Amino acid sequence: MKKKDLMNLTLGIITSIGGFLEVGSMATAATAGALFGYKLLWAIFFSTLGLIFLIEMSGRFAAVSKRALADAVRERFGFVFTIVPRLLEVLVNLLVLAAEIGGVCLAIKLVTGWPIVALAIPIALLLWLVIWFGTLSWIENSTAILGLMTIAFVVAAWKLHPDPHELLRGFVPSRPSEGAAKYWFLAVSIAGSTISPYMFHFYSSGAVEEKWDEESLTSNRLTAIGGMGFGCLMSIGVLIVSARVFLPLHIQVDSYEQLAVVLSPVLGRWGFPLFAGSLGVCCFGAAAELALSTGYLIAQTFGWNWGEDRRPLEEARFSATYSIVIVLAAVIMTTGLDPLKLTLFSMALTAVILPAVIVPFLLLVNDEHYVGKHVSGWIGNTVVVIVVLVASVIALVAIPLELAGGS
Amino acid sequence: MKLVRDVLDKQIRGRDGEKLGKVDGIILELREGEPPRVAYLELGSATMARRISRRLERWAIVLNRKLGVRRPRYRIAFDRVLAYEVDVKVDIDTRTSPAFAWERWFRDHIIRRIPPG
Repeated sequence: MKKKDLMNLTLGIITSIGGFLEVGSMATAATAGALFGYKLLWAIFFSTLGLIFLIEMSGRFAAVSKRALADAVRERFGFVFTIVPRLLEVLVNLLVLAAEIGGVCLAIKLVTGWPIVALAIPIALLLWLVIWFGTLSWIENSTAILGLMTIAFVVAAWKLHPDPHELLRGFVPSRPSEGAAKYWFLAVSIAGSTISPYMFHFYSSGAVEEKWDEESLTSNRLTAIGGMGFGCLMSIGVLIVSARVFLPLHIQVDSYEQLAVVLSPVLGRWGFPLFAGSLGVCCFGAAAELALSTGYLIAQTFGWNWGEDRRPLEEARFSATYSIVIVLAAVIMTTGLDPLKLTLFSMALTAVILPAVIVPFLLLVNDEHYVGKHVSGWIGNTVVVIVVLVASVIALVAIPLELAGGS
Repeated sequence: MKLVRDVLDKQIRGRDGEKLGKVDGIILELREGEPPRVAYLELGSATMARRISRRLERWAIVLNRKLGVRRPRYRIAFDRVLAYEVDVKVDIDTRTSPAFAWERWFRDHIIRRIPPG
């Protein structure tokens, strides 16, 4: 495999580690496991299937058309059509970024006991410094290597010897005997945390920045399947461990502090630091992706210079944008919002806006004007349409029920 | 060439390759007895805002004025288009162009004031 292909694979793995297993997927998978055992494994599986196709499509689109997604959406559909979905995306990104910063703060709080409210600003500053001084490949590689500690969840799941028949049954959608509103709310939150639009923007922008071409298509496909598959496995690991540890004790996870002990019964004294480390690294990686992704999104919509590898002075508006976004997200976390509630809510909200983001994207990857002979196949198109529509319809029903405190 | 599909909202780059902005508007010249001709590409926050509503356009003009950006919109004569590929490349020096005023404003008022900027 060529060096460039290896770099492409690295981009995929960071996207999966930094974007897949982050505070959202950890919280949703763990809550789902604690409340419903393996019954929501199907939500992780189908969302990942949709994500694999979407990531492959966004990489292919960037490699062939030489355009990042947000750039192309404005070019193809016009400013007026673009502006509303962009505003929604920026708003949701901001909430998710706040949740990710909250996740890093929480990881530190677990070890030191310092309050989240006091940690939010220093963590945001550290995040900003990393993006300001770092390069794309440096951020990718360091998070990818550190993020490998999340394998602890899979090891723990393996050591807990889950019943394979019960596990397999979890991959088939079923109705819960009780707590239907919570069940569907968690299903869409899982979908929202898995199919996060910021991941496509980050991935396609990275592909443009690293000058992918048609020769990159094979490694792009491998990255989408391998990278997202890796992330999915970690998420499934979290759900299994939570189901095996919390469900028999009837512990309903309603704070991250409860989650922190999930690995301890299996991995002993290593469990707690591995949980805190995984949470901190994954959330930090995701926060970097989110801040950059929001910057890319806005810069590409308005046609400004952008790129993580350029000096801030050469792209002042882009640099100012991600800086402002980081400050706003940190301010949200200093208000004392419950990080778990914020995470679950922003994940479900992501599922609601998915069609507005995905439909134009799907039209683009099927437009010969942009991708020539590399248009998407019917299988990918069908899977994405079904996953996205089902997720957003369920979200529209489940969110009001959850807010109303239904069960 | 289809103007709305192929030109409007496309990325514009200066001759140095820097990104100037998007084609926010197209100015057509009406000619007696002849078909209309593309006279200018227009870019700028006021032009963008006008595509949503006139009121928003007025707000954009006021905001530009308050922040000391003299020209809320900028026109590039169509004969200065050098190449038409993935982006529209124009014969403009980006760094001194009024279309780059906002970039300069952010650079001078915000980024340069941050110590490592």
